Amino acid sequence: MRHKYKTVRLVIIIWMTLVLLGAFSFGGTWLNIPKVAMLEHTARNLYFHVPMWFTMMALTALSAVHAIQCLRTNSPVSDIRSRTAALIAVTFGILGLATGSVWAHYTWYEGTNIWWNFDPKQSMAAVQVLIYCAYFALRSALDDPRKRARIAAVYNLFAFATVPFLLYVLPRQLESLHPGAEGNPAFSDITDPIMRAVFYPAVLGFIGVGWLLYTQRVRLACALMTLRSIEEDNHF
Amino acid sequence: MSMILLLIQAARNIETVMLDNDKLLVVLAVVLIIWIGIMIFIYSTDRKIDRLESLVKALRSEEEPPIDRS
Repeated sequence: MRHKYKTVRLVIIIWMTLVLLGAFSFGGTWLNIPKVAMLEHTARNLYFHVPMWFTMMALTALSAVHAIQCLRTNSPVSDIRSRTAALIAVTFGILGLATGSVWAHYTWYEGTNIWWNFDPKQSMAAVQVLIYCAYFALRSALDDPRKRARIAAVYNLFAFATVPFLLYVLPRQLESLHPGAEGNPAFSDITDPIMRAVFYPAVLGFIGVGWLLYTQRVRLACALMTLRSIEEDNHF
Repeated sequence: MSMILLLIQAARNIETVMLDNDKLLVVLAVVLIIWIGIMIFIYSTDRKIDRLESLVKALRSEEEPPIDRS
């Protein structure tokens, strides 16, 4: 088990390093990307900003799966997994908001003071992050661990149900800086197809990094849970 | 002496490469430094968790009541 984890960890680390090298390829290499006016080198942000959202979505799905598991089996470990996945998802969501804000400021809003423009996708993503923040507020309001696990799991499923609508359906109905609003699935017409050769591996790589952080936190929380139960046994 | 000259030449070449292409490789260098730092952090955290888990395991085996074999 530990051996398998170490192999997966090494694969993710090497994979991400190659992605980073690919993301900065230039000149005569085959991954060279064309220079688009205004975007220029910032087009490479596609490899970093967008995978944040893919990672967030993957982790919210993982969180929902473990929430169902928690409701079915009442297992405290499922509760830990569900909570941890939501935590890492929120982290990646905040990183996605921050990177998007910086990117837009230096391209579409170059020369202005705008950092936040209420772009539909931006606003909906912020709402999405807040919905998951409320999950933690809800958890902190409940003291009984078993009750907390069940109520939080139910809320988690409702929160996950909003993900496709807030991140996909609604932003595409409205005028936006983000591609997709014109009916195009995800990439703009100006996005060079060669960018997909780095973009998709980057999505996988960042999901892998999210998974590493997730497993670390799960192991830590499980060890703490066991320590607490030992402590309680010693008291009574 | 020629060795030193060679090293200086290599350093100069690195500088030309780094300043080429609108200094894009400087950003790559920065990103790689951050990534190496994060990798070290992930590995050392994993090691700490390993140690914590073995400690918890040891405590737990102490906790378990001795098996009555009578």
